Amino acid sequence: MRLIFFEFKKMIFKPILLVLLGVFSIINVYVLSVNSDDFAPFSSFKPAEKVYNDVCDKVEGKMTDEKINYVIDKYEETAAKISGDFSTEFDPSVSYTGYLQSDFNVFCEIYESMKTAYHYEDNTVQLIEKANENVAFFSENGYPQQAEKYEKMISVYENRSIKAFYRTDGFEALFAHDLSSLLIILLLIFAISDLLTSECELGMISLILPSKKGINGIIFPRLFAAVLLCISLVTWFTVIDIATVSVTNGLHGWTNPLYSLPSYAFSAANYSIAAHIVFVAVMKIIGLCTIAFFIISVSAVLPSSVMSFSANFVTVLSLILLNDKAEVGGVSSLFNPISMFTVQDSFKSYITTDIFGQNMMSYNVCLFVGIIMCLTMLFVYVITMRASSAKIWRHTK
Amino acid sequence: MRSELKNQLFKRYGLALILVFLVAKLATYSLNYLVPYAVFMLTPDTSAYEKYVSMYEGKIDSEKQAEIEEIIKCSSGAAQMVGTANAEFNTGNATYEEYCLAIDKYAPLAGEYKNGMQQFAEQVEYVLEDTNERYLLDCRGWICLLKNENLDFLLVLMVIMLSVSTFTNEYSTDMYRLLLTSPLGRKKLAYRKCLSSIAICGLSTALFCVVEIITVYFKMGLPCPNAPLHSIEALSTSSFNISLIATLLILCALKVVGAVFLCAAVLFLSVMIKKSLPVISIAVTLIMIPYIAFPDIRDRLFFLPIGLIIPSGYILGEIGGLSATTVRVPVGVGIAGMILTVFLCFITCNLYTTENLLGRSKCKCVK
Repeated sequence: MRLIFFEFKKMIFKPILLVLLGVFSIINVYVLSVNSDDFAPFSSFKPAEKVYNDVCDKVEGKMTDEKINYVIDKYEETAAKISGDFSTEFDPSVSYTGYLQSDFNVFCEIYESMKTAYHYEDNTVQLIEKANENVAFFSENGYPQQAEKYEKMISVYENRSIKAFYRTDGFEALFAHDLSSLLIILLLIFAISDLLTSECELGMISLILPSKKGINGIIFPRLFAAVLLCISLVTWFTVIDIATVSVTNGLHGWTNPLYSLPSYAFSAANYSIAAHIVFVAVMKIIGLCTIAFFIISVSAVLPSSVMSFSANFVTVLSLILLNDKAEVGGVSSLFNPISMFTVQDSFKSYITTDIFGQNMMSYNVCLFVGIIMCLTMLFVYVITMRASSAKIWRHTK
Repeated sequence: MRSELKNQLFKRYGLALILVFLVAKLATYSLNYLVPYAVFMLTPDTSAYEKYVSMYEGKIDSEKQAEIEEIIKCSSGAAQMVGTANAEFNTGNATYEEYCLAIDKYAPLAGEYKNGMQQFAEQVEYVLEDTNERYLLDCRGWICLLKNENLDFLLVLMVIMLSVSTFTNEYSTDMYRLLLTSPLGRKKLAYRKCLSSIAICGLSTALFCVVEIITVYFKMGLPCPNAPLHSIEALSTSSFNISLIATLLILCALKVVGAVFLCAAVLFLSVMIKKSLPVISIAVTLIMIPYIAFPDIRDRLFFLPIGLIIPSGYILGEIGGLSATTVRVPVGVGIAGMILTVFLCFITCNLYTTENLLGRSKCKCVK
């Protein structure tokens, strides 16, 4: 355990890394706060934003008749005020925001959002009816695979409803932000790219190898330290992201289902938004561990730190480019650890991946393939470390 | 000088690094560096465009113009006839035989309309506005090279990695003090190190440009190199009256200057910090993060190496509010880049030999 913390300290407690961690955190907070402004309705007109927030605070929570009627009444009242000729002058005495048109826009926004949430159940029923028709059609015409696909779709969308209404801009902004993933990967490269090469360059390895614990004293503590580093980085940036959006937009409705967010309305996931945040963080940790094991393996093989940095940068950059161009849920994206960081895309709609004739949810396949890749990289890491230290040991003798 | 070059290329794996980056560049070229609108995204088959553009390539005279207009008219007419035949057949106004007859007659020409004829017609329309200054040519390859506003991350990383170990290696292995006592002289040694690093970075950047040009040439073609720049509609905002090949050479030269400038900056940083990891981290962060996180400030980075490494803005007159009306602007920017490079090398050498930016020697203590 002591060795693990020693290795962890060695990885992260370098002055430059701590500085970079601070700088990256500030950049991340700044970019997220600027971008999250685009998601907030009426952010460009403060009085309207204030009215919107006040009304939302009033009607948020379980949708009751009282709340629904309040929104409908206000919507109709403001709509009536702008029908025909109406004053476009600023007059706070007859309006909530100062302008009649802005009043209508605020209540229209809330009314439409609430309407979508309220009618979600009916829309899903219609979707299931269509899917049932498709099942019947494909079964009759001899396409059992397609029929099975639609049957699965029915089982996913069945019994869906949104019971509570919350504003969604905060979570939308949080899930759309992906700069933190890039920063995490960059920090990981800076932290561990020269883990073994620097010891070889400085000759420390010939001191470590004859020690009591031998090569195992390097392999396993480093392995756990790398995992700990990945968990720490992902947790740190996830917490920063959540804290930033909580301040800028506010995060409401953690227990609401993921499909209550407009861009995730057709998501195949049936769990809460909070569970989704945890799931995405776990995916990121698995992806980051895969990359970490790869980076350490590369540093065990290459003769210099600069070579190790270059190889790792080139590989990660190529993987990012490949992932950018790959189809969501496609085979090429599944076998790319970077796809674990962009998994949000496969949650936005009903995306399945065909595995040996079986239609499986693409994010489940992504998780499964991610775990297998991580274990494979772990195996590669152990083999490479053993081989390279045996080589150094022979050379030292 | 030769021994320093050998040292950097072989002992410090410079050659291996260049090869790794070149392979990565070739492997990812079509993923990142092809400008999306140079490839007709919605037209996967561009056979008609290629056929007619190569047939009428070059300056358009009245005879060519008449022929081209006739072809475009026929093709759009045929597409219209196929549409009408479909509509007539669907509404029951035409028999199946009549429909087949019309399709057999017009489908081959109408098919051309889908295979890039529309793009050809648009380009012809643009060229005919000023036939003296505009040639008809397959412009996709040229757009990729001349209007590429993506930062070449691989090039930037390669330059950083190639230059970072020039001085940091000496500090980490403690060769630094030993080298300072060499009979060659401390300053000369430092200048040689700087020069060899700059030469390697400059040459490898030129190699990158050549690889880029060759890739585009074989993938998309680079016809009519002597055609005026305004032959390409995407570059019509430029106020330069030079040929396509001259523009390409200017851009490559600016890229090389940018790479050399970046190299000098990294050398300066490495003498200041003396360790590889911080230098790499700071350089990568300073280049990559503003580019990715703050896309709005990209065009204000024209005075930094990053601006010279993405030089297409100088040609289009879109960088930093500079209205580049003459070739003097890019040439001036290039010269300014070179002067800054020399200045950075000068203070780097001073810092390396005397640990003072201005070269005021504390040599007795050092010795």
